[in-house]
Amino acid sequence: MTQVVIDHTESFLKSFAELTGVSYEKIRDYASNNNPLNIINHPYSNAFGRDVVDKILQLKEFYASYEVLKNAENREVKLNSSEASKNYFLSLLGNIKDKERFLVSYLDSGLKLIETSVVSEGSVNEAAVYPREIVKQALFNDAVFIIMAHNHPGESCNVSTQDIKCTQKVVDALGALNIKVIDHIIIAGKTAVSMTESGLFPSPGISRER
Amino acid sequence: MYFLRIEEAEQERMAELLANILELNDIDRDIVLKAIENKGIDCFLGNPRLFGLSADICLKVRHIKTIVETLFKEGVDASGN
Repeated sequence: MTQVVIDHTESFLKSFAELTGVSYEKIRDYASNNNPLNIINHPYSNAFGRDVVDKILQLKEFYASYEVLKNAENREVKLNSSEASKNYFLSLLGNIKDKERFLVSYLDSGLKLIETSVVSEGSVNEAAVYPREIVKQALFNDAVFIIMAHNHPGESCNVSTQDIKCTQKVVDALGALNIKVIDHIIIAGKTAVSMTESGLFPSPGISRER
Repeated sequence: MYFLRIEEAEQERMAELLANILELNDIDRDIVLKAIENKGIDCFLGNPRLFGLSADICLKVRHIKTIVETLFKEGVDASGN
């Protein structure tokens, strides 16, 4: 078992060295005192050059996306906190700069992800959202809760009046069906803002601490 | 107005990210995107040779696959938690 883990790490280190251009000796040296898998989450702590850090950050982003996809396949995503929601949507929407994309996640009663759909895509500053379509999809998925998210291609973290109005429309449309909208996440570059967390959600949110 | 399953949207994003990484390794992003568009990212990551790409590109793709698979198997959280 130990051998398997070592081989696993060895191949990781070799691939990492080949891909980033960092010398294998340097990576081995780091790995002798640290968990080598931490490199991807802490690229700045190893005195790498700018070009290497850029490669690691791209790898990290790709891995975040890969992780989301694999977890979605395994149905293991649970959006039971604003933090979890922000990380989840950051991996889906972070750094989309050429268009606005609006996503909705449909959750079961245990806040486990049933499905996430792209509701609309728009130009750089506008994506049309029709509550009727979200209602249809929520019923189709038998959702108990939903979380909305969209990106601001201009990378402004501010929640706009339009964002609040749009949230209110969806909250009202789903309210009668007892399907609760529990958050709306705004993604601006590598930053995520939770409307619930920041007190801007247009109706009383519910506690997601379970 | 339309719905895409998230896998499609996610795969599209993964293709862009993969092209970005390979571009930093001096590989033409359009070649990568075209290859992924044909058969999907899973196939591209799993069998890059199928796409008639050079040995150098295939090797880089294999390195990326090794890295992400290792991180996933070991349960590394991309958010750093």
